[in-house]
Amino acid sequence: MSIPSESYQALGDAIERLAAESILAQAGRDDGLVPAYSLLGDLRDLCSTDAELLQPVVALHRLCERHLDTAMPFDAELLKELRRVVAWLPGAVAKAKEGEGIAPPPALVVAASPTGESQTAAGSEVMLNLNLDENRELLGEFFSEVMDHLAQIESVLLALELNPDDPNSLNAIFRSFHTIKGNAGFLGLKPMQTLAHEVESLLDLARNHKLRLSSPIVTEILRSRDALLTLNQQVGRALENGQLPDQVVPVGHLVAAVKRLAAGANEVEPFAPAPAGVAPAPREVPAAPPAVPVAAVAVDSPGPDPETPIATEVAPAAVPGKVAGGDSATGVPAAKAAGGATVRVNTEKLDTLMNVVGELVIVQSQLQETARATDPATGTPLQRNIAQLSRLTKELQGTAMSLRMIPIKATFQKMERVVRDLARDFGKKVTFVTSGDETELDRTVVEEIGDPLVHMVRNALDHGLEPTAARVTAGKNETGTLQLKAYHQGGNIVIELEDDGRGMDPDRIYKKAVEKGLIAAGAVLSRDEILALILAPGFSTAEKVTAVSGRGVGMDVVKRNIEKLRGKIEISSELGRGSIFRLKLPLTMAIVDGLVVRVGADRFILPTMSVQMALRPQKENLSMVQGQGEVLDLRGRLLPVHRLSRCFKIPADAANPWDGIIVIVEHGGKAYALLVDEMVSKQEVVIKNLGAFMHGLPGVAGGAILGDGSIALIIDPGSLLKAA
Amino acid sequence: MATTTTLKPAVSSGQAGLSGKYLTVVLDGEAYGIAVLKVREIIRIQKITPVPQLPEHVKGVINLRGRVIPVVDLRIRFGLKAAMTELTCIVFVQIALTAEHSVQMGLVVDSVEEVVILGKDEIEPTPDFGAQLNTEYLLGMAKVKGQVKTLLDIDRVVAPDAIRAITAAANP
Repeated sequence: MSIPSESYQALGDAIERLAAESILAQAGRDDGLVPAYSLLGDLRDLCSTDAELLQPVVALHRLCERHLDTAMPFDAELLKELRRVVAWLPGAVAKAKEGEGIAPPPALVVAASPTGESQTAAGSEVMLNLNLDENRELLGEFFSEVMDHLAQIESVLLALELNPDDPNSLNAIFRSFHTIKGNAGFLGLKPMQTLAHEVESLLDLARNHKLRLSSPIVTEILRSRDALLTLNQQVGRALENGQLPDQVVPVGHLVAAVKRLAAGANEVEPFAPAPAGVAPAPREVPAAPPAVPVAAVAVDSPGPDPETPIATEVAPAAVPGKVAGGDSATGVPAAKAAGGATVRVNTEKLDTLMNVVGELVIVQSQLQETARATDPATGTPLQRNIAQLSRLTKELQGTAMSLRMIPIKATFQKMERVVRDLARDFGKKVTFVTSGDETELDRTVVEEIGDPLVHMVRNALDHGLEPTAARVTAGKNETGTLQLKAYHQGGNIVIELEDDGRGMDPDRIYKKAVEKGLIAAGAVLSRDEILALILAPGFSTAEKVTAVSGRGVGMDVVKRNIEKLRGKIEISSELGRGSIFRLKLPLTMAIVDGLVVRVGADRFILPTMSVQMALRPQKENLSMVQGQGEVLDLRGRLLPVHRLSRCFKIPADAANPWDGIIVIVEHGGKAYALLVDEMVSKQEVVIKNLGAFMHGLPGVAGGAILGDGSIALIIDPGSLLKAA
Repeated sequence: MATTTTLKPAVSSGQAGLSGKYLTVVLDGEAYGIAVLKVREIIRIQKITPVPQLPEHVKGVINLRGRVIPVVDLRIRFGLKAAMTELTCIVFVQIALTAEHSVQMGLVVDSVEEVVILGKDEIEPTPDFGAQLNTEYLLGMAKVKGQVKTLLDIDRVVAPDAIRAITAAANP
């Protein structure tokens, strides 16, 4: 019954070599047939004491013998048989070693499998072969097309999880995989083709009502999608900087898993609607393709083998996975094909267009000023034409600007995925609701906002929402709610993340901040200021450091990223009721609404976003500290006064603060008074980069060209004080 | 926001390819040569908006048809006294910061002379002036019609030390 233990080494070697032969073997050729035959002979001798191992080996050995006798090359049937045995052997041998019973190879199942092609798991573990020189343009199109499809697949899948029978969604996702498969095949991208093919076959079953997309199946398809994404990113990298793929993305285990799901569906479906545990998706299958064919067990034995380690590992995980977003309230719209014809445009061209339009706007306003100076009468033909021109340029500018705007939808969908996966990891029940995902933002903003949002969502799930038990104790619904909204407010876009979790305790934050040395003990802070402390570097109140949050490196990075986008974060929170994080972002990165001020001969622009008010100070409201620091008493609030002229070391007209104008500037929750000579105007200006050359100058965010053609520097209130 | 606009790749300034056309400019009576392929355009001096915290030789920024371009005063850069005259003009050059990154920059010079074609044998390597003169941004010397012209490696005249200064200003 058992094999002598010293034979296992030799057995393993033989199996490995046989696996290698099976990969190289091709239908219609006889290369490798003889070695395979002799290896099988060795295996037969080694297994001779174990009847269960021996039988399939002997059967295959005979089959090979027949082929050799009749001088026939490999054919599809023999290959299938060979690969099946190769896939089954390692697991079976491992079990024999443990002294457990062995399931026979999945002969019956595979015979019924819908995959008629001889592509196997093992055959797909190859590097992407790009033929970059030949296919560069095709690959470029392929890359962006696949990216689109993958984004669509993700959103549709999440929708399908809620409503598994929606034929439109099923067809859409089927078509997406089908397109990827077809194009990948055309370009010879084998791993992508194989994987997409298998998923497509699986989806075909679902489309024909032979399979219901349960949560584990969706998880598996999502994983396959991620693998496709990784592969596609390799393509992208190669296109961008010529870096050819240097890593094999293992897809074999996914192919095998998907195949198994498809096979399982065929067998199980006639008896009962597939329960979640019947065709379990392996959680972490090692990259080696031969996976234990779990589904096959169902065929011969009455139920899933309870000893199968994979099955027991998955079953508990599947439950929270199903609950995450498993509420009908989730605002997942059924993804539809985008309406209206679109054209793909290189972003470089868009940027050039923006630049040219910006210049046109400047020239137009210069022209307008000149015309007014030379021909002050209104209603003349010149004035009329100029007015017409300015109307058209405005419109052109608006249109050009809108080209850069994209809806935030894709980012929100990503968050949905994050919530789903994290909820499962944390074992929490969450309903994720989004609204306003049609809101359009500047492309740059949308690109930059993703990472901070992921972090905030993680925080909300980890720190914000209590564990289920704690929620029940607190008398709340055991399923937490996480809301992500986007909407317009004034000239800004607001992205709001709201949870109904435990909320933040200002006292605890205060104590922690004192402990960490972020504030002095006894400092008097307003509630908002205390809440803003969680954005400080090195702050973290979570007692437990988890894999995703709690190291205190996150929120300050979030804050920095948001400020880089010239936005700000507002926090409100109620203990026991939940927290709201509001990200206020500018509509576009190209234009800033600014206050033009003058100091000496130079003009500067302060972003309106950070200006609270401007006033002419009274002498009695100003006082000196230690003979040099000036302080403004603004209705009981004491604010430090900084002179812009001193920050930038330039001459100013106003020798005393009461001769000039004080602008109250707020940044990062702190306000200060900035002394300038004069307020000039309030206007929207196009931000001009000062170039890599002058990037990162403290206090300067960029330059803008004013109506008269001169340049004014845009002040960065955050770093201005560093410049002094 | 517009990043640095991409233009045609700047010509490499290897020792072998020194011969070619040079634009000669005057600074305090001395003639200097700038490779013509680096020059984008020449304008008369106009108002320069100062930018705080930059080294003294960086005069500020200028609006060149809607583009904001930094301007460097070569006189100050070479330790001469700043002086503006009727003839003072700004030569805009394309400067390679790194292999694939280049920016436009304006150079304030006393006047622009002419474009000369220099053959290989007209150019001589920069003599060693010892420690008193930094020659790392000089390509060589050329003798044209009895007059010595110093050929500038424009990529190195302003870029490296200006960037160093700016980085220093940003992280005090």
